[in-house]
Amino acid sequence: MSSPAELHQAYVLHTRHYRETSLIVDFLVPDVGRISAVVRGARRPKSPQRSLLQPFGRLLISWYGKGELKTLKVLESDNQLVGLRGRALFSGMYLNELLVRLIKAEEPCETLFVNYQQALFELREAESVEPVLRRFERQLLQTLGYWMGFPDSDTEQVNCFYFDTDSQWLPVAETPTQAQQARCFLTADLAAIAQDDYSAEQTLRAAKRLMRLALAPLLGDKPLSSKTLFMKSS
Amino acid sequence: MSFSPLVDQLIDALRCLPGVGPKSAQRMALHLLERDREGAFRLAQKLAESIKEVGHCQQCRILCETELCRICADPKRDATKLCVVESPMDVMAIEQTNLFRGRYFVLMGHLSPIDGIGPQDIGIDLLVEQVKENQVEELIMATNPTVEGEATAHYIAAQLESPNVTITRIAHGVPLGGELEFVDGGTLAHALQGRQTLN
Repeated sequence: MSSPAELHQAYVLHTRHYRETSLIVDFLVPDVGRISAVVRGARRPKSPQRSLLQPFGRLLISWYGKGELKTLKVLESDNQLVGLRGRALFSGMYLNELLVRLIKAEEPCETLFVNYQQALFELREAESVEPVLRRFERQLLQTLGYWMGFPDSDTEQVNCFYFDTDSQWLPVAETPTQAQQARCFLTADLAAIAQDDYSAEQTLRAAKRLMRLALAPLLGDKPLSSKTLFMKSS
Repeated sequence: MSFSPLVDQLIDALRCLPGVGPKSAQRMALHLLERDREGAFRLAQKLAESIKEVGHCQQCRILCETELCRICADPKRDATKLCVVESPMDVMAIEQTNLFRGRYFVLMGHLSPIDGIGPQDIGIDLLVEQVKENQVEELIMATNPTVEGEATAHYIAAQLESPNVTITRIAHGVPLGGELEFVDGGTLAHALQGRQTLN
């Protein structure tokens, strides 16, 4: 466990009410992954912590406690405000839901923390949120160790690859059958995704399909509810 | 130690109230039974009556025992202005300002995907329907200035994109009588973004 006096950078992922005046907050912390901590008195009317404990706010925190649920000791603003609006805000909520569902406690995620921060800033500036989301999904899968990589570039003469349920790439020699199509990807699209080149609409669609297939086994039966925000608002 | 079965059951029943643990429940039960039987009787009667009678207003969804609540039934209220809030307490707060003469719509919560609260759970379909039916001209989004409240406001605004409806968001800023030095950065940033011309 870290020494109590040490302050860690953290992003607030989610808060939920606890008892009358407290909150349980999920934080993303670079060297310890996701932690849940009780923040006592955070919901009192005059609590200065109320405004700080909003998702997408970067904070400096320290905590104590040995169990899974910690208790927050120090909480300070780190002067990083990311004001997201509209679709960017929904996208931010989607990222947070992914992280809450997939990142476990005690799983260091220094790179992912930087990726997450980068994604938040890009969401605020970007015209289209999709490329930002796709890139982050890939970075998240890489951190979790579930990223399957791309098929060998030596086999470029193959036009199409099948992404099987064990996350393996199988070359498809001829035209894919109807049943195969949902899990088939054009070599050209895969090459574009590998280089984060989302200039073509078709690449974006393929990337979305690929990430959905790759994330599905990790998410299990429960679908991500933040997706409903996009479905009707678009 | 335990009391008679009925007293134990009463203590247990009182624990359904927020913030009431075993000890407080015991104090409440003993107080009602030993010191204030009349009050207890009134409480029991009103509880039973309310549970039977009180439902939600068909328009704004606030708690009331009639089909329409006092505000929705008031003909002096401006039906073209609709204020969207998260909870009945927010209606009370806005009513106290005495500034708003329109009607309300209570969402009874906010969008929170991680907790599984989606658009259907807070009656957004009903709201959209009402805005169209009642020819609302201005929709005032008075959801809380939290990330979830903000998302709810944006989501509703996206559902109602129409030239006939103006959708406004209440301003966030520095509290009256406050000092800038002690206002948090987020609020101050909002206050700066929403500044108004003086001349």
